[in-house]
Amino acid sequence: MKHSRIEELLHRRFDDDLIAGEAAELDLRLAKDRDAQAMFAQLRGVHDGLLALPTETPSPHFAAEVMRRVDAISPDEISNSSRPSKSRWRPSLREVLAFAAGVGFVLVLRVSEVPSPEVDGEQAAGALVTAAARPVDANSLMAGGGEIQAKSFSLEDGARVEISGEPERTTRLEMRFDADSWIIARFEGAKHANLAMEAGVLRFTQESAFRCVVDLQALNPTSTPVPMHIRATDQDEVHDMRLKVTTGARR
Amino acid sequence: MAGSLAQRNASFGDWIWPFSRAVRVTRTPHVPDPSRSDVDSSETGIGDAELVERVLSGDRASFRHLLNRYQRVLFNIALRMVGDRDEAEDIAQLAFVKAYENLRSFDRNRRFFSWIYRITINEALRALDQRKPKTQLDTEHRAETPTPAETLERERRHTELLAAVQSLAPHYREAVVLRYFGELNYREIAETLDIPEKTVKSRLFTARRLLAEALARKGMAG
Repeated sequence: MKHSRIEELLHRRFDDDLIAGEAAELDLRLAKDRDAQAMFAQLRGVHDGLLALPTETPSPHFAAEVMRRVDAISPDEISNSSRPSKSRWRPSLREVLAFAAGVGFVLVLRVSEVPSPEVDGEQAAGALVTAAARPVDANSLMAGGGEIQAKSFSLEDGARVEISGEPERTTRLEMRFDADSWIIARFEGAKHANLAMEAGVLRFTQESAFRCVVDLQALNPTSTPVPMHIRATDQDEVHDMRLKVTTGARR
Repeated sequence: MAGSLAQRNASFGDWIWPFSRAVRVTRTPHVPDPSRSDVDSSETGIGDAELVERVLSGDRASFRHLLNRYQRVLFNIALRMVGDRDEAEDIAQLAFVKAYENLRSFDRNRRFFSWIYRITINEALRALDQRKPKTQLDTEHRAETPTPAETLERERRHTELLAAVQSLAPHYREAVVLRYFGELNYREIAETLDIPEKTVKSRLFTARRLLAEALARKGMAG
């Protein structure tokens, strides 16, 4: 959603983000612009209303319950042990189908408005990994402007990357990875794909709701996290764009 | 070599690749700012970073200090995300437990409050994702005893505003919740959600406008 200059100034006033010149500009426009005055009144109603909402207190046993659960955790369990375990993946054409049980993690990224966030996958892999039977709406991993930078995945074995989204119009997407570390073993689901794999770049174009799958094969299995970036190369919004990265182990 | 292998393997055809397990990954913000993470607590006089160190050294009581420091704000963030007291309490408790379990993985160059806010938001989003559409609000704000007209009107406005917040898409809602219930500024929200400040502004501005429109439809403009 686009915001006019006056609306931006109004919002930033509520958030104490205006510098002196901007404050003067806003005051000037408010003094002579009735539409701006109306917008100001409307937004101020929301702002003041939100500020006036009462804060609540958790129940008296809240802290005791947390400590009870914490006390049940042994010190040894305070760790980054939720990092996906390592295993060997020896892909050899279709023999790869003979896989072992995978251990992995799933990232779901929803992309909206503006570009250039980063997902610190190394931290993600090591930290707050929780068991989940399915991908969830992880706004935590929200990226913007059609760009997802998923770096530092612990892809010692390989990964399957699923990218889905609903671009408003034709959108070019690009996936970059370290060509010395892995290769694209399979790609499907996009109408126009340019598998520029030598350069560690995969480009494809989508026009409407899509879902494509990229299987990456590790060339040199290592526990060293390897970066991967996925982004829309133009700045069109891609609604509900999701990235699901699954690292899996194969034996 | 990478290129030739890539070309060869690109023709693999369909694979079957089930996964024995899928786990959700939560990331943490990464903009270090000691000014907040080391802020003194009136209760302990000890900054978050020091408390984290103590917990990791085996001092479990220090976690209680972190708990006391953040329980109210985390509960309110969860409550405004999901709109249900019991669920919010579960979410906030789970956030603390997960923080404890994963404390060794916490990047201590980052700020603890952003990290645990992020956990809370994640858990709230997961809870929202897992439940069926639900629009009813916690009715705790409704007057239970006769009150003056002004109070009733205020309560009505609170209720309508909370309903409007609940109707926001999650990515707008979390921006509003962190701004007003987490009392974070743009930079801190960006850090917590790991998104650019520009995105924070865009979401927050849009959210306010949507809320204003929702209130206007209820005849409660301005």
